Amino acid sequence: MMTCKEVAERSSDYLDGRFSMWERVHFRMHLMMCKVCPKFLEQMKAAILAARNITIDPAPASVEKAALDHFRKWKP
Amino acid sequence: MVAALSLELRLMSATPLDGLPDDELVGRVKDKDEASFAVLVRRHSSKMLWVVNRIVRNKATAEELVQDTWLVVVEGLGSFENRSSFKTWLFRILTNKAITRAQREARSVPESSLRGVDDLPVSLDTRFDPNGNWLIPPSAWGVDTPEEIVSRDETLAVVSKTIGEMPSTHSMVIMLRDKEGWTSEEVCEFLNLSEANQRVILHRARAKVRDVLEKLWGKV
Repeated sequence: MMTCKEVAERSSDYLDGRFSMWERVHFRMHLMMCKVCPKFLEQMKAAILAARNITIDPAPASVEKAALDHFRKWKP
Repeated sequence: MVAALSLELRLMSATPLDGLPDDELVGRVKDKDEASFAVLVRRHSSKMLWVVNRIVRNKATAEELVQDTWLVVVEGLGSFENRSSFKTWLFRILTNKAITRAQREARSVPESSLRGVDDLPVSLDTRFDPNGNWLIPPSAWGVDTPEEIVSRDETLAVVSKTIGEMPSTHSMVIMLRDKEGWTSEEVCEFLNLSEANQRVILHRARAKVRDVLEKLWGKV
C-alpha cells in the first residue's frame, strides 16, 4: 500500500500517464481509501492547468525585423 | 516607411505556412524561402525571449541574444541535419550564447543552475510524518474545480510571477513542458538533464505552483 507521501511525490508521474498498470492500480486504491490525497491531486491538476494558461509577452517587432533583415542579406 | 509597414503587416497576419511543423518550414528555409523563415521567427521569438530572460534577467540583453541567435541560425541552417529537433537546436544555441554572456558579465545565474543544481523548496518537504502520513494536509480551497481556479485573473498573474521567479531550470522545465507542450525527451535534450532529474524538477515546480495557489485560494 502506498503512503500519502508516496502518492504526493508521484502525483506528477501519475498525471503525466507515466505509470505501469500495477502502479496505477496501487495509486488508485490509495485514492479510493484516502480522504486527503484526492484533494491534493485535484490541486496539482489546477497547478498544471494554471501553468498551461499563463501568457508570455510577444517579442518586440524589432527582434523579428532584425532577423528578417539578416535573412535578406544572407540570400545570394 | 512603406516597406516597414508591409513587413509589420506580414508579421502580424497568419498565413497557411503557420500550420506547418518546424521541420517542413526548415526545409523551405534551406531553399531560401523568406516567408517560411518569418513564420519560424514569429513562432519561436517570444518563447526564446522568455527563456533567455531567465538566464540574463535583463530585457535589452535578452533581445540582443535572441537576435544574435537568429543570425547564427540563418548562417548555420545549411549544416543542420535534423539529428535533434529544430527547436532544441535553436534553444541550445540561444542558451549557450546566454550562458557565455552571463558569465562574461558576471551577473545573474551561473551555469550550474541550468543543470538543475539549484533547489526549489516546496511545502511538501515538511508536511508528512515519518510514516508518510499527512501531518499538515492540504487546505480546502474556496474555489471548486481546477478550471474555475484558472479562470480567475489573479490566479494566472500569481502563477506567472511564481514561475518567473523560480531557479532558471525549474522555471524553464515547467514552462516548456506544461505551457509549450514539449516532450520530456525534448526538454532533457535541451537542458542536458537526465529523465529522472527532469521529472523531479517538473514535479517540484508544479508543487511550488500548488503552494502559491493554496496561499491564494486556501480557506484560513
